[in-house]
Amino acid sequence: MHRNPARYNLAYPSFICLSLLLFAVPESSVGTLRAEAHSLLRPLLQMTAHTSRSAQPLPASIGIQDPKDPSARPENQNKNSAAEYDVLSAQCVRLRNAIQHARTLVSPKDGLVDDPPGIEADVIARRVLWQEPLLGLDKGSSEGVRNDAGVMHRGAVVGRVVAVGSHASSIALLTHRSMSIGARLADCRVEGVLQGQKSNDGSERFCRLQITAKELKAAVGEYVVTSGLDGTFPAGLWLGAVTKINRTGDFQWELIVRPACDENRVESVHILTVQPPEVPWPQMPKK
Amino acid sequence: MLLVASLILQAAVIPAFLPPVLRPDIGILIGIAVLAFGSREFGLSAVFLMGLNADMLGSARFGLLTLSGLLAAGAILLVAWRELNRGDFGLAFIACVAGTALTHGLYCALGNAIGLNVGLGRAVGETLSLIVAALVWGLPCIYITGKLMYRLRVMSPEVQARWANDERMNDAHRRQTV
Repeated sequence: MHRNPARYNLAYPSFICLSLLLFAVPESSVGTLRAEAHSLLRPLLQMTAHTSRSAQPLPASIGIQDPKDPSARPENQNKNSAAEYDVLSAQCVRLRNAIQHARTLVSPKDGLVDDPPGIEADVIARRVLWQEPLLGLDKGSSEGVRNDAGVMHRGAVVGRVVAVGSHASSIALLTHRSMSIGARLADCRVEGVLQGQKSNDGSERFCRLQITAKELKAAVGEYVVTSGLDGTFPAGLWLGAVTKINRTGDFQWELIVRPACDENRVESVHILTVQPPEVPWPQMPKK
Repeated sequence: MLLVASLILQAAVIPAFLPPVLRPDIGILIGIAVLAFGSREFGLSAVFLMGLNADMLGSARFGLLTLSGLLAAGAILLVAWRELNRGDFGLAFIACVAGTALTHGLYCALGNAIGLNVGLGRAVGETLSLIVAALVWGLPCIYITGKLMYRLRVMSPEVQARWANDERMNDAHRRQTV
């Protein structure tokens, strides 16, 4: 049975050493490798993603489909659904006009702005086994996706691109432990850093907003928006709502934030293509 | 071929068509099946490659699932190598379930040791669902892997000879019946 035990005695420790060496591989390389694997499997992933999702997934952005567009109408519909469609279309137009009217009344700094320019992408891969919250998208570098680009879903921030393959990419969701975004409380205008977090028992994921201030007049339920200081997202995009406020030190505050998007329901996203503005930092004088 | 099949199944087919409680770690099932029917070195190579695959697709720390899989394979070899190498489906099935439990139990333990903070509730829940999935999909996976290895003649010589003998006996019985 044991024909060559010496060879086995050498093989097993070698594999263990090799697996220990894998810990030295940087996370970014693994992400790129995963994105390339998704690029290779893209047709199959798109097919399986379409079979497993609902018949008409929610669009990634609000207002990207024109209700008067004839192509948006289903061709084979009966009279009842056609009448219902017309009623809903009329309501949609009325609501849009109301939104436009409200926008003229509210100043742009309060966050009611159109989505920044970007491209639409479908989710083709979700969490497998023990993976941190990542999603695979069907757009890659050949379609104009760049690393670190912000990602939105129906007007709210959902995450950031962490790896780009040729025809697919991976995004880390807001609750990913390595996620860090410049954020601001919408009412009291205090800025901080939003980080991904998970509870001690790992059952629920949420975000943590770290703020350094002597006094904080935040309230539970207050909205959190992007501050625009991290160079990834423009200011004023919705991130989530405060659910708990903790004072962790004399000048340290920790706010628990529930993300605006339910990551399990995200089927298509809006990847931002705006380049972050370059800040003209003054050159340090030479000594 | 098994590696590509595992990649496609784990990345595309299983998440799309199976409910969460029935999604197995197909890599470790195939790896343990190869370990049961092939030579030790070939089996360990399969466990290593399948671990790499699982690490790339579904690990919070690259390399941890590979290490856990290899440690689990080592434990199985230590306890039941002679029984496992007989080429029976039953023992290979038990090894697959035990391998899944050991791999993911070790992943949680080692992950907590290196600061991944895998919660107890999530660890128990996910590991149990993987064990249930291994109980459901273990036998089909072992059967297909075994038949493929038999056709490609990459089994260990003892198991190959035993399976060939069984096949001849079955053919003979069938001819007598006819």
